[in-house]
Amino acid sequence: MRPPVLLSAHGLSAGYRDGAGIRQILADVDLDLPENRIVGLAGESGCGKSTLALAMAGYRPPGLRLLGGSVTFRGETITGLSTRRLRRYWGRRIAYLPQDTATALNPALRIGRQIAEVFQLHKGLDRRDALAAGADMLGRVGIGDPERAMHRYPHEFSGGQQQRIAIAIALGPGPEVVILDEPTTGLDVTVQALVNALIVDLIRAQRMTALYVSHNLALLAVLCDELRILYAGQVVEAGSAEQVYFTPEHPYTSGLVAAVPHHLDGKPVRGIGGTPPQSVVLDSCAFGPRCGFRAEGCAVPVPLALRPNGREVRCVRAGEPALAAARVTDAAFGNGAAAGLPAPGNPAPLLAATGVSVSSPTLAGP
Amino acid sequence: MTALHDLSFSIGPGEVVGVVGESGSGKSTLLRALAGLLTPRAGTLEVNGSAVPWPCGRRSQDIRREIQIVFQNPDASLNPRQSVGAIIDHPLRKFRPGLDTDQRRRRILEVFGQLRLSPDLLERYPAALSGGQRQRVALARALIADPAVVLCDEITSALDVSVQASILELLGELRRASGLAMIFVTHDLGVLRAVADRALVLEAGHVRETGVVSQLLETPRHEYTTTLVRSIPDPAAHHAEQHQGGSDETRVPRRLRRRPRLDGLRAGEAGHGRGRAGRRPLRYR
Repeated sequence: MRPPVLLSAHGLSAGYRDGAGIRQILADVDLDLPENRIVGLAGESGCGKSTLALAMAGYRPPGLRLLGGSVTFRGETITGLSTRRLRRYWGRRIAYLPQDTATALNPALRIGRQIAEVFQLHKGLDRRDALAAGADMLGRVGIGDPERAMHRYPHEFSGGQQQRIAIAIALGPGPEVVILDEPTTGLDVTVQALVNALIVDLIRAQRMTALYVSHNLALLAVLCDELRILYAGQVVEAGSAEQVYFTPEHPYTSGLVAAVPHHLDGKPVRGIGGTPPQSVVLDSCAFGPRCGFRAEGCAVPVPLALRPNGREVRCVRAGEPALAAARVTDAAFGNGAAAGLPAPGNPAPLLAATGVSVSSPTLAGP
Repeated sequence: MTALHDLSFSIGPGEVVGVVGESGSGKSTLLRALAGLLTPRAGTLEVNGSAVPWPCGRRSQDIRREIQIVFQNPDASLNPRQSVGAIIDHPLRKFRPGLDTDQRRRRILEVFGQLRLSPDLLERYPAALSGGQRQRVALARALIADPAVVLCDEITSALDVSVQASILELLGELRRASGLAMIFVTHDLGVLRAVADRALVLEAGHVRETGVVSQLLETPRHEYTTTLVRSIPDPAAHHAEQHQGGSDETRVPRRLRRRPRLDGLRAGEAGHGRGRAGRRPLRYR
């Protein structure tokens, strides 16, 4: 039984003005965020992930034209609302966490004022209570000595700390839906792990619903309940995170999975040749030109079809054994990188550095 | 600039040595020193058994040719006002002055072929290329004069996963074809596994662990390496955990059982990467 859908896109189409015409970015996208679920959205750069994420918040970036469809929050249409009316949703009911949170924080204001503001605005607390709630929230996201942190400016914190502060501001007032657009890209791996754990922890604890956008399928497989793969502005595969990651049925999804190198298996990494098209392709399968399984049936518009096994796949050949056989299985490969290469610790080193110590920046002359 | 403390390592012909660590670990400092862009306070450098001075200005032309570097961001390392052809030709003129125009052109086309770059791109400017093409041009510039070792500083981390995968594939082919040796700096352990034979784990300028990559990642010995490995999302381990039938079935949903403790997170707040090793972040390995 599926929980009720909180935020939903119905047949959303959008494009950017490009000279006289319009370059279409999204084509007839349906995306449901069921209550208390974390839905992952994956795809390469330029596939429309961020445009879709913003559109889900009802936001229309400058130059973007809505060509059809709508976004509804609890059944009410939010697309096309004025900014003034959208402010009733933003922050309070739908929160958005961008990739570069350094720009999400105002560099000229102390942290305390920035975090207290959201509690005043969305929770109706007075200044004192809002400050207390803000400090409490900073503590919950792991900022040491929150009272002192409230008096500091964003630049006094590391990138990971700034990200946690942005999370505290976005999730503090307890929005019903949170949209996260690559929130940990650019952070160190250990910081990424902590920040992601923190995000999921807060989402689960406050029973929020989330859309998590990333190009890292392995991360989404671990964090999310459901997964949607976007290619050239169309959803090409949808299903549970586990199904989509472990048994992808669309060749593009298989390609994405095979492209991510994994530290524990030596499986060779495979790239997907070519690049995504600049705008949506409606008269044939958009992935066709890059697909190793292209057939005659691919030259017609391909619908996102519900397969007998309950999966949704936009591929005419979905379910054929040939596609399944082409998946890269973890067990099928030995130790790729080191196989057949010279043994480490060669007796005659090509280059050897000994006892290198660097203390201060000393630039070499030309 | 991060300090380095008494670091020693060597690389053999055809070998790829990875350098991993987080920002501030000294990865880039090490590469810059090897490239002759900064001079360490102490330490010696030998290439093919003979001592080499640190500053690039005091190195012989031949040593400069032998050690090439590729940076993370091709937008910053390729001159936007020069055509791709001019960018590639420059090191060839400098390091192979004996070649005439025809021979240089042949060499350029050969390297372009290896890197799967179309000769049409030679006329274009970096701005007209995709990110993956730009990084391959930067690689071509490093490879053109046939170096002994290429220093790679996070060369795939600014690229999309699919583009990164094609570059990693390409590096594998180059190694098999020409026995190229590389020192490969990365913060991505998956990338490390895909390209390197051996690796150094750096933390705050200290080498924490060295070893064969597969062993280093599968059975890390140093606490910091363990932390790095555990920070990588591992769907297979997560999947196994979700589906193991536990006899101690409690009321807590499985996905909530292994959540991180925030008090531990606070303790680790001050430093980069210290004091966190003992904890298991949520559903990461």
